[in-house]
Amino acid sequence: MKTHPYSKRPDYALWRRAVADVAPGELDPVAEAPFRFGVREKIATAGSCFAQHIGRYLKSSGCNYLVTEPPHSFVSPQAADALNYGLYTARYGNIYTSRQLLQLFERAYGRFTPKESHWREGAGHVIDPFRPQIQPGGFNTARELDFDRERHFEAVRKAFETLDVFVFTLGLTELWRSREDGAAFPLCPGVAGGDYSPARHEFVNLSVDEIVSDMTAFLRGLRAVNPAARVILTVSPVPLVATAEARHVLTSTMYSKSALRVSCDALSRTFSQVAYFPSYEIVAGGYAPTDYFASDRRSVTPEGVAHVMRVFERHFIKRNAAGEALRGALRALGPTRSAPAEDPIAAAMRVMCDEEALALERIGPSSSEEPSAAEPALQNESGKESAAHETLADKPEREADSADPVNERLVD
Amino acid sequence: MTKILGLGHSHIVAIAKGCYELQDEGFQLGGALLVSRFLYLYDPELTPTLTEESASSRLNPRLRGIIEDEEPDGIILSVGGNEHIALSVLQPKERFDFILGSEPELDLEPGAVILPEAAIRETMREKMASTLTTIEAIRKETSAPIICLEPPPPLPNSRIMQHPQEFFRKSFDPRRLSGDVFRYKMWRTQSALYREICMREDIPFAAVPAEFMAPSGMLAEVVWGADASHANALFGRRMIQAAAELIEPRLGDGRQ
Repeated sequence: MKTHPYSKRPDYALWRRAVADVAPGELDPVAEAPFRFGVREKIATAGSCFAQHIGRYLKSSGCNYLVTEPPHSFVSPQAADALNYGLYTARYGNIYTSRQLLQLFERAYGRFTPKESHWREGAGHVIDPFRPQIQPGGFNTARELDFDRERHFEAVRKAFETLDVFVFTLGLTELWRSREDGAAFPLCPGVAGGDYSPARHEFVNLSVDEIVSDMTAFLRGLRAVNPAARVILTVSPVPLVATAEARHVLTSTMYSKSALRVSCDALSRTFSQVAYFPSYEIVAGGYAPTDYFASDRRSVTPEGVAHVMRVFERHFIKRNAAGEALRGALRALGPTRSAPAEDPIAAAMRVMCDEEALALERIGPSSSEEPSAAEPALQNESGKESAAHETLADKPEREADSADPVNERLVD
Repeated sequence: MTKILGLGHSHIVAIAKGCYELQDEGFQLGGALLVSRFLYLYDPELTPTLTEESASSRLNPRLRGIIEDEEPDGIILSVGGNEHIALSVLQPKERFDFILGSEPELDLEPGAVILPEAAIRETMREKMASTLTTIEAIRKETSAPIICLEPPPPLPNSRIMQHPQEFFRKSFDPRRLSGDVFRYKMWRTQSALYREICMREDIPFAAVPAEFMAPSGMLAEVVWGADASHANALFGRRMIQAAAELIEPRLGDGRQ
């Protein structure tokens, strides 16, 4: 029997065995990951909106998800969510393009300072051009933004310098940038702040060469500050919401995803510490037996996300008994179980108010009448019957009772 | 007679005292003698203040009944109002401060972490959820004009040190006390949330008169109450007068 290069290929290399014959939900386009990470290794994420799914999964699955910009202890969980703390490793919001990622790195290390540093949107409303939707209402002054940015860049540097694995989801090739200094904006000026001006802003659709160049510069920079860092690149399956090119949005989507995919291939072949993970292929390749897009044909269904993360876990996370036990423990300690039964501020409010309420029984206009007999009597907190729905007006003035209980206070 | 129904928590006491003083002096509102009734919303017979009905919050049925029976010509609210002090009297280990957008020139505490005002506001909003929902729920229950009173500003540290038991269950480290300017900013942030909901619900907001604000932004000593967070009857009296000015143009013709 003749032999040839295809005669002994493994199953994953053969369409019928790797795609056509696999059960629904079992399509697994990863042959062999170049590295795996353990549960103690610190994983950071960034990227386009699909990257949020990856971050959420890593957090909920007991991995050591790195957050270097946590909310201050004062900030409530709901407020922290509203201000996008914990959405990613640091509070950078979505990073759609390779140019944005490189720019973030350069800015965090003080190598680039965009001229367009903030956008004023009327009194008391300042937008960060590079994180235009990072918090409701933007910042109240340029000074506040400066304080926050300084803290943010500190967190970004800490992330790059301490992460073990960086998962970056490339989403777009189209971007808008400043004509003056090339600063890349995540959203076109005018969409979520700022004013679009053809004289000051220009459209760019990155080529494969440009993406590879950006990412190469970033990867070299990362290696300089963190030589052991490993990187997993993936391409978001989410199509473009709009294109600025003079063509159909579907055509532009196909270009963007193709260019990003080709760039990832080049980068993973060039850099030994870089792996490619095929999110795009699983969801948008069109070969999975299940349709993983919602009715808007953009949103990825929970089943699609679950499939992606199942494959990710299978190939990139080290599995052993000790690690699984640790992950289980971390899952159990997750934030969903830590909600306090009673909000301490509400308790403090009640206690403060209770004290003052004792006075309600002691005051009233001197001309007030006695409570109407028709009014039902109500119990006050000390169990004593007090008249009528306790209208202060109905109560005769009386001396303070020295036996009044002293409420315990709390705020601490 | 012009009948006013006052609803609120602890600050309603000073308001009621002031109102009764005015009534004793024959105070008129809309050309008729003012009569009032004040309800304390933590009265066990009126709690919980809010109940869940059809996935939305409604006032306690008993409270609804009182509002319906009273048929007030106007309602004065002093709901909540201590959230700012509960959140700010002590600083956490990592002290923080923020720039108040409406008065950005105010001092920042040296060495404190500077948080975005949005983080303070959204945290405060969460802690005030019950207060804000109660105001909304009251608005839904009546077509009578409603006035919301601004709670008194904070009192200075010197006063807090005189009344530590008001805030602290046990001994505390005085070095952790927050600064007066910081607490003033927190009070302003709280007031902004009141104003926001009042605007949405078409409820005029009666601000604390300037004469009761010390230059430091603290409550002026002349209107201090018996403790370190409440005001006195003079404050209540003046707030009732402020409310009367706002409510008068909105009074209906059906008064007795």
